[in-house]
Amino acid sequence: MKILIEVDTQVQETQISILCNHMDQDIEKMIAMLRVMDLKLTGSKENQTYILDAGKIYYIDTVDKKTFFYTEDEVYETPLKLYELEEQLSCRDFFRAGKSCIINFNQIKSLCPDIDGRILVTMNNEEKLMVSRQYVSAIKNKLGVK
Amino acid sequence: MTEKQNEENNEIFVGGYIPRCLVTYGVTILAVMITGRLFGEEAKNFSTMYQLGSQGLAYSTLLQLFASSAAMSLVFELKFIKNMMFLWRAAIIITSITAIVILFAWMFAWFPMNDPYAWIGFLVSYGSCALLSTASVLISVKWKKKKYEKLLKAYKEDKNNEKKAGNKQ
Repeated sequence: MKILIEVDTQVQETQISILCNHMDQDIEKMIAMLRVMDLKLTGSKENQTYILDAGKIYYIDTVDKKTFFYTEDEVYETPLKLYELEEQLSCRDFFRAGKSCIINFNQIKSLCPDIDGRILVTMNNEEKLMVSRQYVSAIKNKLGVK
Repeated sequence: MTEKQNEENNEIFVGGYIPRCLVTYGVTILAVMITGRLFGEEAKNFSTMYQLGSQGLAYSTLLQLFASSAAMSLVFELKFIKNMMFLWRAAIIITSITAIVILFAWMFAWFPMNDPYAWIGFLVSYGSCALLSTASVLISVKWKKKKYEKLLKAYKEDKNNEKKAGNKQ
């Protein structure tokens, strides 16, 4: 694969163009990663590809080594791994809630502590998720709990 | 098992089970010490736990209490109860812990098993302890929930203000 970089001081907005003879998984993944840098997520549903703003995502999880993200009432599959998304989305208030889940803090409706140290999170669409004990500190830090 | 999963399991063990076990042990020792101190030599008649009377607690008693604390703390780590409703989980935890305490009482003859008065004494003291600890857990959960809700509301307000300020600029 050749990487061509052109620097032009006249350019207002950075452009990335991909020249290929066919689309494959690697290229799709590369595009998805570039979109995440732009705080957009590329997800597929029923053979269609969608581009969504990261702020609209409620949470992301992994099931059977596949990564899915959830909006208010839709589910999309993404070619990216959870850790790749976590790294890029931490600046948009996403935090790790478990081994296989990251949650958008801005879409949380309420928080309820559990007797065993976990926190039950209710999302804005009333979906309930559990934050594991080892990741509770992320929520506490955000809320400023000492 | 991957290295990451191993690391997470260690975190659960070190961050959850061990502290709970040590706290349970500490509270049990404190309760037994206070009872022993209150009744002095007379305590010898209640239970084998007070075999030394006013002299203190025997090494064997300390070890028995540690083993019971370790067993009781294990109940909280049961994976199948983790996603149950709070009331079901509380019921399973209390029942399992009661069974463990009775088993230890029988194994180490903490009180005479064929004496109905000893049973009444045990049930009253254990029941009041269970009731007190359940109530304290419920109050602390309620208090934490209130605190988290308040902080979440403040966080959201801050975010909205930041957004509005950003839009104005």
